[in-house]
Amino acid sequence: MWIKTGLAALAGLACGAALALLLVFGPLEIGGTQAGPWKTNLLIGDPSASAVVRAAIARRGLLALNRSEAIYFNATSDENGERLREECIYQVSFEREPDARWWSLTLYADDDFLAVNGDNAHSITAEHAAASAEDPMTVTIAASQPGTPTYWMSSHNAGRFALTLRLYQPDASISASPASAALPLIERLSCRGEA
Amino acid sequence: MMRRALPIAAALLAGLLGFWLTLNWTPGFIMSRAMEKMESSGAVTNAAMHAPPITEASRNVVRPSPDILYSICPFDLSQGPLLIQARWPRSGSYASISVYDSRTNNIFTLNDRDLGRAPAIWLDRPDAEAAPDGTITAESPTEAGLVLYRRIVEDPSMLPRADAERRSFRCDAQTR
Repeated sequence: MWIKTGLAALAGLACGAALALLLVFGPLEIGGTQAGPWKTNLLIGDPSASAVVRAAIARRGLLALNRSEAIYFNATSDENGERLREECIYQVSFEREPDARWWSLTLYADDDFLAVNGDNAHSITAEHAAASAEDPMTVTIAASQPGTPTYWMSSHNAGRFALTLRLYQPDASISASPASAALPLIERLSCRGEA
Repeated sequence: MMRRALPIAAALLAGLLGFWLTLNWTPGFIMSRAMEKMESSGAVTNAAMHAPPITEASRNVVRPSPDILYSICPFDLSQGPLLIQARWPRSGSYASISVYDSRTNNIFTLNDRDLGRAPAIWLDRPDAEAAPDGTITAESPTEAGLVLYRRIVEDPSMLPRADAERRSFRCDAQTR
């Protein structure tokens, strides 16, 4: 019986470790508070975060600042909950600028790094919004540059990508209630192969 | 009954233990891997390294910002504290110095608006000797970790100036 118990414990240990690794290195996002497709976690960088949150942050947002300095919103889906992917064209609309000292919106490929595509169109920042004649400012996310003049972020070679909205020194109301932040809408316009 | 229950209970308990241990081990492992990559890119313990601007070829740390210049200083406090110094941007651009312990916790951050003058940060273990006058104290719960200097570059035309300014960031090991 003791041999059987020992083997069962070893198998349990291995399964528990494998499950944790699968969770962290698989689909686990940082999670936390959600507003539309945007998610943030106020425990980023905080020693009091749970083991699951800390592992997810280490995997997806290593060396992020804590909420007193910056808040990071991440989106992997559009307003309808559909996974963001390279084959589709999206419009991101800023009804209002995020209330922060500085902000940026960056597109990351499915490996969590900037997409390797040579387009040099990985991000949009507060300075673009300041220079924009549009109201609200819109950004097109597509694998190739749109014909009409618009701000463009390239999803070429990004696969199933993610968007990160960084707010540096955000207004105190956002730190207190991230869901109340003015976050851009992410709308899918079309997808390759769809009518 | 006992013959069946004992292996099942052992498997469940061991499963929970394996899950918990792995989750707690993961942040430190990822941090050490990232620091190894930085060291292979030229970073030296207790010395500042000014990383090149972020491009799609940057692969050391996940989700880097292409609009921020980063300088790093991997630290080891086993032989003594670390003095961290920098000058803030004259343009009023955001810059900050943040400290991370070896378990990825952001244990200290100071930005340009927190302190008008050039910062001098004395980083040491908790309960160490008093820091020199004129320095700001930061304590790391782990001997090793990383100091990160961030400087936002609002426009690519500002890059040369921003790059020159952030090179004022330095860290120097001190003796106890």
